[in-house]
Amino acid sequence: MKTYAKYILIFIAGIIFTSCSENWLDVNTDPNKPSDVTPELVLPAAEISLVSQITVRYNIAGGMWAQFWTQNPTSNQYKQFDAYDINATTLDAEWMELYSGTLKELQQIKKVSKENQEWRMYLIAAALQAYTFQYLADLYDKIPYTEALKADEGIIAPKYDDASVVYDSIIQDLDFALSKDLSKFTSPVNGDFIFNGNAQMWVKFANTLKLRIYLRQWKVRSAVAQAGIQKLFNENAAFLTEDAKIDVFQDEKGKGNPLYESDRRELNTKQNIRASQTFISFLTSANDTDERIGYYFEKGTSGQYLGNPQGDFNKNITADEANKISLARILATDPAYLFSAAESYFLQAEAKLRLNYSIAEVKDLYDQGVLAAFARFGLNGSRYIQTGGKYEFNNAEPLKSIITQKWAALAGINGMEAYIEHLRTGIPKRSSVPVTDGSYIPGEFTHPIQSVLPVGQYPRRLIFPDSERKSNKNTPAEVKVTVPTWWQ
Amino acid sequence: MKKLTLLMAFLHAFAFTMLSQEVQVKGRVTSAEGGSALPGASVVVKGTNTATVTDPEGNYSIRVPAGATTLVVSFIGMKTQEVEIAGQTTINIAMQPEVIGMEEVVVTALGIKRSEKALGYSAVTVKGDEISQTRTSNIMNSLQGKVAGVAISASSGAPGASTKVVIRGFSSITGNNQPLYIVDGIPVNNTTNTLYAGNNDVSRTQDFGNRANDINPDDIESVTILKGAAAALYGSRAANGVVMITTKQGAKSDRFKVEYNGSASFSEPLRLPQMQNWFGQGWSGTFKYEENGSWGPKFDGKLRLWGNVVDNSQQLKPFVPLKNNLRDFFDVGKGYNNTISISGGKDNALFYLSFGNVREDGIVPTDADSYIRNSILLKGSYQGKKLTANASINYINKDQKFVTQGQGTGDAGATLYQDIMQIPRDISIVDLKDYKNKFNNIDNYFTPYADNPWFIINENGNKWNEDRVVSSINLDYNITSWLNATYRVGADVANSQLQDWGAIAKTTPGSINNLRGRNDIVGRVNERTSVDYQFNNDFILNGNFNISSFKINALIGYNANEQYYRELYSYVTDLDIPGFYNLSNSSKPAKSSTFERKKRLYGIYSQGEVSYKDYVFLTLSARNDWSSTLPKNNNSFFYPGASLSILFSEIFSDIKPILPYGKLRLSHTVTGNDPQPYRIKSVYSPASVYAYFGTMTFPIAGVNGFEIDNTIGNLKLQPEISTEDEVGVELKFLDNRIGIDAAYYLRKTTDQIMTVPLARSSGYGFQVMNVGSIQNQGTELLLTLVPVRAENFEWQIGVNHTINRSKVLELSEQLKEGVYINSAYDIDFLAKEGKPIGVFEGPDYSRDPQGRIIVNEQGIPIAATKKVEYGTSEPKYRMGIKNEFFLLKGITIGGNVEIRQGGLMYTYTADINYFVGNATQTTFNDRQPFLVPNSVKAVTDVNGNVTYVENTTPIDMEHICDYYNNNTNRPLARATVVDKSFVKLRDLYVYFELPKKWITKLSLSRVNVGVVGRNLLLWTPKENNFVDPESTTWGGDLESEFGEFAVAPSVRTVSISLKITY
Repeated sequence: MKTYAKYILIFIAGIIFTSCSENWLDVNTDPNKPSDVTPELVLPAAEISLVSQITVRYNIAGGMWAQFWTQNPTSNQYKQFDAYDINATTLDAEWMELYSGTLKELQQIKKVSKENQEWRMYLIAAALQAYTFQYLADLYDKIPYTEALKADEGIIAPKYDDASVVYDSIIQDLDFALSKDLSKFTSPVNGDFIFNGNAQMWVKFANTLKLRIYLRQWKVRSAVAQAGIQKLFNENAAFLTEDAKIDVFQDEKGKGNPLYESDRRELNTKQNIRASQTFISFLTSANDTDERIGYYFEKGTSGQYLGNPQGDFNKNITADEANKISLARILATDPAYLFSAAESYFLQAEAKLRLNYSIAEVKDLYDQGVLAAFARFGLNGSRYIQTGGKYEFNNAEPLKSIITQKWAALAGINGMEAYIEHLRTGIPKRSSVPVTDGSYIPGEFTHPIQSVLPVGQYPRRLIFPDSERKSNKNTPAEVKVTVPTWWQ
Repeated sequence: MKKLTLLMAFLHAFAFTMLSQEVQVKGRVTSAEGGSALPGASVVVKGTNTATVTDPEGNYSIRVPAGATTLVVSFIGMKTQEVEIAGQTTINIAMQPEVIGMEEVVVTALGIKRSEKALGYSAVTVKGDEISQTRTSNIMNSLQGKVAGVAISASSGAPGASTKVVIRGFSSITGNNQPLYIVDGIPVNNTTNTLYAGNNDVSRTQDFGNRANDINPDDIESVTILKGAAAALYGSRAANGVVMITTKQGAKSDRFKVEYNGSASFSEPLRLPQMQNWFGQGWSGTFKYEENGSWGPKFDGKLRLWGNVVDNSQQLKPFVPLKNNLRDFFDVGKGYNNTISISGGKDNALFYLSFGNVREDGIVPTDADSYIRNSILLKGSYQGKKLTANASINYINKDQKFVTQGQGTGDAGATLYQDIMQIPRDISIVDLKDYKNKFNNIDNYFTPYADNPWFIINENGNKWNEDRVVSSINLDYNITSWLNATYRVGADVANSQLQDWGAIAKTTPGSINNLRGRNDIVGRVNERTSVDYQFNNDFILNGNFNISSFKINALIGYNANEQYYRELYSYVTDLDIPGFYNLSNSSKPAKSSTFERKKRLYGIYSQGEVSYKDYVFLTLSARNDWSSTLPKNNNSFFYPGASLSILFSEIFSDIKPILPYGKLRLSHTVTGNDPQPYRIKSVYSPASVYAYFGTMTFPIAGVNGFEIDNTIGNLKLQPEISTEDEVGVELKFLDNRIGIDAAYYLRKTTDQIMTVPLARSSGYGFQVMNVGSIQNQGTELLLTLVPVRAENFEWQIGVNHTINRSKVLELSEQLKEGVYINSAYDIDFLAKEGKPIGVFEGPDYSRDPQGRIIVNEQGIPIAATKKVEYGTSEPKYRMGIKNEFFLLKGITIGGNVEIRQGGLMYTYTADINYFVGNATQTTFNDRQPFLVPNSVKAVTDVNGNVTYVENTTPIDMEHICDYYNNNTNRPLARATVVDKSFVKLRDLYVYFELPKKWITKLSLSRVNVGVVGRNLLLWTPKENNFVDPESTTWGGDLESEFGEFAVAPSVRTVSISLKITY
């Protein structure tokens, strides 16, 4: 019995020996990932996340719908966009990245910088978040806002809010951020790729964004829009006179312009995005070729800038023939744009037009917009806006001038915004004849040849994403892609 | 080191073996029933290695050393007899038929040996000989189709590829479903080294095997599979059953036993996609010499220029199909598998030492697919008066090269299996071999859309090297006659290195493919090193008591386990010097990352067995675990179990003449499964941003970035609990010539630990949580028959049949649409409430109110907005049939057939063959224009009302390629999900045991030669003429049930084997 007891003791000793301390099991802190990170290290990720959506697939889909670009006939990648073949998985991945990447990170920055009263950082995050929310609201009409981004508070199936609620809320958040004292700031803002932490630039960004938000609802809530814009003008709000862009890209995998990274570096063929004849016809119309053509497109192998009729990707041609059509010019070191200075001027021009400011003031802003659009490529555009010039301001149809030039300026950098503005204003017009018809007016949209939608129908919204429908019971019933959103 | 010294000492001890005087004993071995001779019966002098076998007349003759007292005589199907020598020189022995299973001893959990009759649960033991004789280089492949309830499949036919083992179905949606492997009482690592280049798990997949495959089959004494209940004592890691491997040990003998086991094997592709032989190169119905598809005109046999015009010349060939084009590309694979072992024992010490070498070069030309494994196993045992010590050390070194599967990438280049299928039916693959030739090089290869397969296998490659040591020490001390203590410690340490490279492949500016926009491959080198270890300690006290008619056995034990993994991964892209694969070879900085994982667990367990009169056996067990991966304040979990075995044939002895053996078993057990480490707290991760095909990675412009990790932590995580009930019956009739073993089980797994996709609008992508429950129920039936048992001939049949039905009983509210397990293109693989654990969903036709298919302007069907369910991956049943014939003079002929009926799989091989027009299915209607049957077009009037009119747009030759492209005709995706039923001739073998008299002169005790064919034939349903339905590129767990993405073909193998025992 003595031995027995001895071995029981050894057994117990063995347990104590192996588990030597209570802490033996305390090895569950992830050594691979930090549990706390300051906003300065999160902001760069949020900014890159945002431009990687706006300037990549939204830009490609929008670029095809706005008829700058069309699918190359000898490859496949963007056929669904060009054919208006939209379903619940179309651009779902972008939704996913925007919510659980961009917006969540910006939310975290807002939270921490609010606690620390670092209002400059708060403004940056609020402005970028408002920009993103408006984008989603414009495309989906109803989106999660008030209950969104709150998984850590236990809300994993956020309800959807009406776009008007989102609009009002983001304006409120921008006003809150703008009302704070931005001079009181303890640490420099690192990692702001866009304005390097310059508070005044972010104020301009926020104001320009407010202008965009108000103008978008002009048709449906003109009182709200008018009051908001008037207030901006009355307060002498400053708007962007420079581009809001990220211009730090290098020709290196994962570090180049996001559109280049996706469409050129990673895809197995670089030839998916060809020039649309719609846009080429516009640029080359009136026997005066817009010099920007060489920055928007590469020459085809025949030495010409040639476009393909919109959506004519099923025609039976060889790769050599396809190579005669111009390719979109996309470089690894191209900047990625959120707002261009030109867009800011065109927004102001439209605002002044809507609020019945003098036509001279409107024209002045229009001219500055066109000049800025050319200046983006280091070109002098003054020749085009002269009397009798290709883009001379049209007093009779001022809105047509403004939106048409905004459309042309957004080519390649924000195709979806150009398309959204087309949906809102009907500019450029949709042509009733094909691009090859003698009576075709250059720049008018044609019905894509391989469209799955009948003539006269085109996408007016995106369909609630599949990922959301699978995991959020509050996702609204599906709405057809041809049903207009609230602001249309 | 101490172990080694001790073993060296043992070895020296054997060198001084004494010789002594011998006596010759002879006699005849017969069957007690009818007195027929028993040839090939084994006669062994007890306690020595002196042995012989009887000749065809049943006679034997053996030299018995002085001092030996007993002969042990054994024969298949007969009770082993021990006969006292007692000075006799002629001993005739009449053998009694054995009541199979009655006295069999089974190694159960924790290495406890128990009589099979006492087991209240399913345990199947396969002897080492049976494993070794299939001559596969890994253990589990040799058990394919042989064990009811255990599904074993090889991922591909590539050398060293992994093996998937699933016992009684999948019970965890995102957790581990692989069994726990125990070697000589020590849990060992079974990591499946499947590597993916991309985060979508289809890019550049490589399969460097699962580690359970490292163990040399020739070293195996036996393998026991504990299917459910029995495993509970092993704790949380045994929730999916246990594979217990016992390695060989020396036997006491006067001389060393030397054994050689060797084979040479030859393999060729078993299944390659069947391709059409009617239409040649082109697209949209016309011949185009740059196309990677067979959408061209019909073959006309006429001479035709093809390929690019290079230096004003072009190649000429007849426009005819090359029927065996793909098969001709492959070589005969060769494999050599040799093991030599030396073993013995004297007095109180035993040892076993073996060296095994496997060299395989697979079917892909070059050695780009090869596997070399060297293994050394050294075991020693010393038995003292009270203390028994065992130690073993198994060293394994592997060198493997794997031809990358899946989809190619922009930096490391194309992959073989994807690109080899994109060759038109008239272009000879073999003739492209000279890939530097001006017509076949990068600039001028006939298509810019795919790469020359010969370039891929010669220029891209990888090397996997792994050193692994599995060692254990086991000390057993008999404290008293009824109480013993065991201490067991084991370590399993693996160090591996991978170098993987993709060559630079850039077109010359202005060259043909450059102008066509072929993307440049910038080249890439990946370096990965990892260490993976596991330490395990067990301390067990075991007691035996007898109280009147009751026998009681009780144990209490303590277990501590640590598992650790660390890897360092670096890569560079944009290589500067062609053909130089080093991290220095780029102007771009190397990207490096480390990953570390540690998990600790301790547990206390107890088991008690009570037996009454040797016919009722009750076992009760319980275990409590504390795991480091659970929330600190709630990290303990408890699980009990009970099993009962009733030998009713013993209780009701009246039925014994009819039913000599009848056993009923019942069990109820609970096991737990803890989560992976680091699931409790939310973290940040280095930013890596989605940009469609691109990924933006930090630092960018010298600025670092972190993002909120997409997976939110969960402070309430609990272990997953499985509860299993089993009832089984074992019957043996007619002199044991009929045996039935049937089982029914019901397993419920609740509180599933799942990475649940969250609505992204919540701010996170995933959360690991306990949601829902899964049920698996099934039947297992094993039937053994001996239809003929005559003198010099015996025929044995074994049939096993398994049905497993899984059902997802419940999922949380937000998972009503299902949990993603895997997906590719438009096909999703989901766990859905009320359905079997994996169901396929994909696009469906959009239909008008009358159910007619709606087509678009081109006459091609439009997909409905909602995906539909295609079916499940779960088979209706699985079945194995074994036939074995024992003929005169030691000849054994046998074979195994495995059948699986039902279940679906995704196949990318089908997808790509449809896309390029090589699939036989694409010749429907001779590719003449056809209307989609019963189709309509939607017409919208000015008021927006939609009506449907009959479709009159036929799919013409020009659009047929769009019809068979699931990008443009999404409902076609259904054709990429195929029935994975199969019938496989698993093996067919002939073994010849050389007659004793031929070999005794060479002082050999046994020589066995054989020929074995593995996976010789495969039948699949017509819709799957693409791939071996067992293939997968997704490792060995549930996601692999989804199917394959450009997987390496499976192979058939013929081996010649030789076994010599000295």
